[in-house]
Order: sequence, then C-alpha cells, then structure tokens
Amino acid sequence: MGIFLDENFKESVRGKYCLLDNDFLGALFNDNSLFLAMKDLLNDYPFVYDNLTSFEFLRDIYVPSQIVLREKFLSKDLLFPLSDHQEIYTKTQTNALILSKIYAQNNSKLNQKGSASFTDIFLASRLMSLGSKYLLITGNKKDFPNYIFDTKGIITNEEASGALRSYSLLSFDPDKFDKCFKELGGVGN
Amino acid sequence: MTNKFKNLKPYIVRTSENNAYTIPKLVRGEKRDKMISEMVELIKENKKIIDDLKSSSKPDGYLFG
Repeated sequence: MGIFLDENFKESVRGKYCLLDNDFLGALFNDNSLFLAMKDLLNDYPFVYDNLTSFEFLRDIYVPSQIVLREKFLSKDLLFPLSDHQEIYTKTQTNALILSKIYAQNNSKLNQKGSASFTDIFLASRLMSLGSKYLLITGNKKDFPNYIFDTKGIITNEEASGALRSYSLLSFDPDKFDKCFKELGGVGN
Repeated sequence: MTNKFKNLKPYIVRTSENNAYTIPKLVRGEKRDKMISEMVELIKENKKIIDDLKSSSKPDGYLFG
C-alpha cells in the first residue's frame, strides 16, 4: 500500500485548513497509512468538518462498538467541527440554492446528467463562505465542478485490495463563480 | 407577485485576511503525539471489528435484524 501525491500537493496545503468530505474522512478512519501520511502533511492545522459530514460519517453504522469508535475519532482535536448556527445555515442554504441553479445550467450546456447530492452541494456552499484559507478534500470531484472550483492537488491512496483511489484538493474560485452567477441570466440576480 | 428567490445574494468571503472563522492551531509536542497514537489505536480497533465481521457469519452486536 502507498500514498502518492502530485507535485503541488504539499505546497497547496501549507497554511490551509482542509475541509473533509465524508469519503475522505472514512478513508482516514479505515486506513492507518493514509491517516499517518496526512497528519504529517498538515503540520499545525487540524482537519475541519461540517456537521453534515459528521452526520454522514456516523449514520448507518449498525455495530454499536463501531459507532463508539467513530465518535471517539471525531472527538479528537485533529478533527475540528465548523461552527454551526442559524445564521450560517441560512447563508449556506442561499449559496446552495444558487449553486444548484449554476450546476443545472452548466451541466445542461455540457450535456452532463445527474446532479450533486444534497450533502455535497451544501458542502460546496459551505466552502464558498469560508474564505480562501480553506480547501476541500473529496473523492467525488464531479460534485465540485471545474467551472466553480480549482483543483489544487491530488492524493492517491493504494488500498489494501490494490485498488487506487484518488482524492482531489479543491478551492472555491470566486471569479469563476461570479462569471457563472452572471450567466444565470437574471435568475438569482 | 414578487419572486423571493430572485433576489438571492451569494455569501462569499473574498480575502484571506477576512476569513469567516478562526480555528486554533493544533496542540504540539507530546500532547499531539499522544492524540495521534490514540487515533491510530481507534483505526486499528475498527479494522479488527471489520475483520471479525467478515470472518463471522453471525457477528455479535447487531442492533437490528
């Protein structure tokens, strides 16, 4: 098993907070070597997660001892929960609705089918409102499209089965967003 | 009738100096090493549970079914 980073990865995460998508959080919890590699890359900064991500991480686990382990894992200071209150939720919801319109318009232009999951679109909207010091790590790049997000790095993990799984390090690009927002043609303006 | 969805304004933090939330830096030294060891132990315990589940046709601990 091994971890493979692209040449930009280390530079991209320097001084940044990494917001975790559930797939990467799950990978950290299931793979010691990935966890140890990532904690070295992060230096002084913790991973951060949104409450929706922790919800996904904890749901559908039917073995009680596993639930306890997952809760203990989340409680450690290396993983930091983002603040959550009504004002933040309202802003996140507004951003999510705008993003969903942009996704629908652009996916139609690109002839792409399907839409982002509820959690991923909220995670994308959360990233919008967090500022440039935050990056998102996700294995589901298609829910965070190029017309809004920039890829800053890739980490590839060789799993126990030998399969290679890649995770993207993404940043929100306000200029790309502004362009898409304008192209909505009055919807949402 | 006005369309309340027409006036949506995105909320974006645009500069690195004006980040929305400040998060404390990680603890350092022995405390950090201890925390990481504990997390590694949790990962190992979880792996053991998964391995046990795979090797047993009737695992303990089902809440349902």
